[in-house]
Amino acid sequence: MKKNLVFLFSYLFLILFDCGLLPPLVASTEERPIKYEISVELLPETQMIKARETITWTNLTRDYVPDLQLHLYWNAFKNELSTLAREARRENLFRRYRPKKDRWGWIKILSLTTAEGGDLINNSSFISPDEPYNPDDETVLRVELPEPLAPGQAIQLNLEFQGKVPANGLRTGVYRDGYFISQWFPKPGVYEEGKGWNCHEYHLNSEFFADFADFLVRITVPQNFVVGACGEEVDRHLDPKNGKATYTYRQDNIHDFAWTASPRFLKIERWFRGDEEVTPEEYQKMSELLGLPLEEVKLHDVKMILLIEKQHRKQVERHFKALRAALKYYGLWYGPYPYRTITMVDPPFRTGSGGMEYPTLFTAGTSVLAPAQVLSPEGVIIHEFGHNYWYGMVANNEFEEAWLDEGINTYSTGRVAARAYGPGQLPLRFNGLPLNWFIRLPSTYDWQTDRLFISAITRLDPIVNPSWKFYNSGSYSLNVYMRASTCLNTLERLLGEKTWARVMRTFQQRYRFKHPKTEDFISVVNEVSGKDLSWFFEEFFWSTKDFDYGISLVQSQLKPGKQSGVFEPALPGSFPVQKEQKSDQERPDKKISKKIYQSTVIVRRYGEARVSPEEKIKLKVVFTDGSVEWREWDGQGRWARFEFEKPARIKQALLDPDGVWLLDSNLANNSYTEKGPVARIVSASTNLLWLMQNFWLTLSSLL
Amino acid sequence: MSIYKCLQSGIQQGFSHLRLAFYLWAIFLVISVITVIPLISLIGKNLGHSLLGQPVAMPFELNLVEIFLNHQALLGPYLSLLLVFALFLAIFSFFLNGGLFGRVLSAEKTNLRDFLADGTRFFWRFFLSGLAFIPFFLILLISYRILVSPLNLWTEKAVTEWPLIIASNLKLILFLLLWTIFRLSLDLVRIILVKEGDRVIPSLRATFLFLRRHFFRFWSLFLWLGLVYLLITLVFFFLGKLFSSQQLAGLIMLIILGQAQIFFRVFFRIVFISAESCYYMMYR
Ligand SMILES: [Zn+2]
Repeated sequence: MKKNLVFLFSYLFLILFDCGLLPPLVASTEERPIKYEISVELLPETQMIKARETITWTNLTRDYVPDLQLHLYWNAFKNELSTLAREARRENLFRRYRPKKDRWGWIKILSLTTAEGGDLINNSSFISPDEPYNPDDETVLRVELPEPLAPGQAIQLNLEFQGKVPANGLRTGVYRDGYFISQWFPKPGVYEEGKGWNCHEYHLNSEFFADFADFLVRITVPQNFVVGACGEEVDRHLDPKNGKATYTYRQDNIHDFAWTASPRFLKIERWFRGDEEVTPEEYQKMSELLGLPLEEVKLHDVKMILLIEKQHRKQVERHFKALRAALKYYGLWYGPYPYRTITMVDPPFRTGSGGMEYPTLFTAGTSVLAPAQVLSPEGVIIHEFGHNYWYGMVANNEFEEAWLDEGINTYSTGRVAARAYGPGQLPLRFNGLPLNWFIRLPSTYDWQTDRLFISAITRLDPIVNPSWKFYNSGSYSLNVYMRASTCLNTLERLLGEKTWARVMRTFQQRYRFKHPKTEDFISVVNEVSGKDLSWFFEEFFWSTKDFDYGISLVQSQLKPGKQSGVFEPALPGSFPVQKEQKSDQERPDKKISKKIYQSTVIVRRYGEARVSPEEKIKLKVVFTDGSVEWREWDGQGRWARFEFEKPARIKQALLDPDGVWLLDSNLANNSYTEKGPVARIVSASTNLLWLMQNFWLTLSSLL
Repeated sequence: MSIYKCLQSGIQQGFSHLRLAFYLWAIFLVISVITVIPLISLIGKNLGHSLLGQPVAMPFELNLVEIFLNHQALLGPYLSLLLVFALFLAIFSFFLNGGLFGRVLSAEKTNLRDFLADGTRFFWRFFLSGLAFIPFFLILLISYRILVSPLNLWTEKAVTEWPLIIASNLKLILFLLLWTIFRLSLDLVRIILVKEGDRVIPSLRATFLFLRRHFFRFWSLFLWLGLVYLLITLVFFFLGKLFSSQQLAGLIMLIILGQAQIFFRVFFRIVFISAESCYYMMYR
């Protein structure tokens, strides 16, 4: 989005708010395009919500805007013809979203008027902006305005709507009396100057995109429900007469609003204190790494609110520890978390709403059996919190370029988890029981598992691709999360820790509360690194080429003592004579007679992708006498041969010895050693044999 | 008392048929080696001269996963190979079981020729008894579905994860228990086939007559045997966790332990058959 929104990040004025202890960290601005005021009531008897909503939308562009386009996401769960249902069926996932007993979810606007009282309900119709065209989808509503909205002009819409909470929803849902309510209110898309509305249908493989707004939301629920929501609770009103309670939440400068209610929640609050969590030395180091004054890297105090299912009460400390690590490292690397609260929700059982991000609120998810060696729920807590930075504040269009938040955030999650916890065991289970109860499981870092799958099916789509246009969910998530994260880990190694830290900090700070695109990221990379890395994105983000350099041949042969053939005599003009020429090692004038070896290393480019000629690929060759030779290859051709003549054989050869190119889809061929990992291979082979023996014995015992 | 006696007799018989266990172990070793060679050669080809841990350190298990992912195209042909072997082994198993029952239930010392001769002798009847048991397997599946339905009702209404975990493990135990009934009936048919020299249908009849009178005691014998087998297998797993394959001594120990477990599995099959036969002979 090209709107020039200036968001002052200010400490200048202090509004005494709530308890008065919290400084207002997110400044208000006149230039945010939307204000919401919503009053919603949850009706558990019918599993419905009913609400009154006021949207004030200001045209901040230079266009005359003829209409408004609103997302009505819950209609994706309305029937089998919605775009989401069709896409789910295509992937054989429909059963997951088909509700039991036909408890479909939907949203219906009961009235839609302007502030002046003009009725717009008859001027509105469902549209299907995306390809392939699906006339039956009802997730985007176009509201034609009585007259186009001039630049700078605002319009206020008053709506009344009802919604049926989907039973088998995606990211939102109800199970018994546990509710997670998201994507639930009519929400304008993003108006892009010169281009019009960016308002996509609800797709299976896509998340969301919206404009920054100020929210004031009143939530009414039965009194026994515990409630959590985005932003800060500013008022609470109990009505013992009808057994209901109303909670008022307020938050400026966010672009979505979700809430949850369940009687089975425990609600626990803690404080994150910047000066206790980070040592002065850590601040100092950070300020040097980023080249910023100390004050700019200091972290603020944040109120942490945890809503956790009672069944997981033993994991309260684990949740807070992970959140503190996330607040600390995201804050140190990308800038302090600017909001005053963060709400962490262990989602209500069976609402299908775990592992999802909303501004200032996220859902995690855990199991009653969660071994400490497996970083679950830690990984998901760090990741979903991290979305406050990537998606929340740097608010890219997740429909069109999901990697910008998911890829960057997957990369960031891995870094935080590695720093705070070290490697974790794979979260594998057998019949609901943690597998590490039975066998040894390897401990891995995220970057290791992330890069594993890049060779699997990522060749189907490039990373930069509209989310719903990926081949399938697998290709979407492997590209957008894993492959993108691996690209960023590669860039980090390529540019070095300091430059990379400054790249990421600059990108976050420059695009906070804006909607950047991939090109914006590339220009920050180029600007801060002082290098033109556009080729990297061309090769790895916009193409589906495989990247695989490898060593294809290593050979050392004794140089023959005699060279036979026809050789020119020493005297010019004489005829060539056939004779044998003695090699260096046999010449009588050489006092020390040594064995000389002729060695060859051939390196190949197996994949289509290549590095830029400036970024040479390094080759390190170690000889049996301990000497080392370095070579460089521009990597442009399909292969290159390197020859050596030395009094020793090749012991090892290493392509990319610094391990920069994590993107390489086959690391096994990047190195050569005379003596391979025999013990490891024997161990793996005998394990496989043992498994095979048991497999055949089992089969035979069935008959 | 008779259960204890037959347990004891089964184990004694097992030890006197070590040679038979060795034949079976060797046969399965050969089949497994043949079928695992493609995997091992893939690993050897890719990692045989690789510097693991350099330049990018990955846990070895992930190196393996990466190789398999990079060679997904070979998966189809390899699975076809396994399928062919599975079909072959399925047929061959009737022969092996024929040899196994024939030798275990005979008083003589085992030699390879007698083992093969018994395999041939009983092959057809074992095959037919296997076929005859397909309907019982279906009954087993149906009774399983019926028995788990209350568990499903319970998990459908769950408000925490516990019912799910408990139910799924109860279901597993239930299935294994039903499976033991199926297994012991089939074993008994074959014991009668061999002992009485009967045809398949009369043996089936004799089996059900016998089970009608002695089912619960016979079943409890089987369960006792199963329990002993399970406990000893757990000891193998426990011992396996003590050694690390990183050191040579540990690696050798793990290989020995692995093969010992396979041998034990075969050995205990003999114990099962002997004990079951002991009980049958006592009460027929
Ligand atoms: Zn994410």
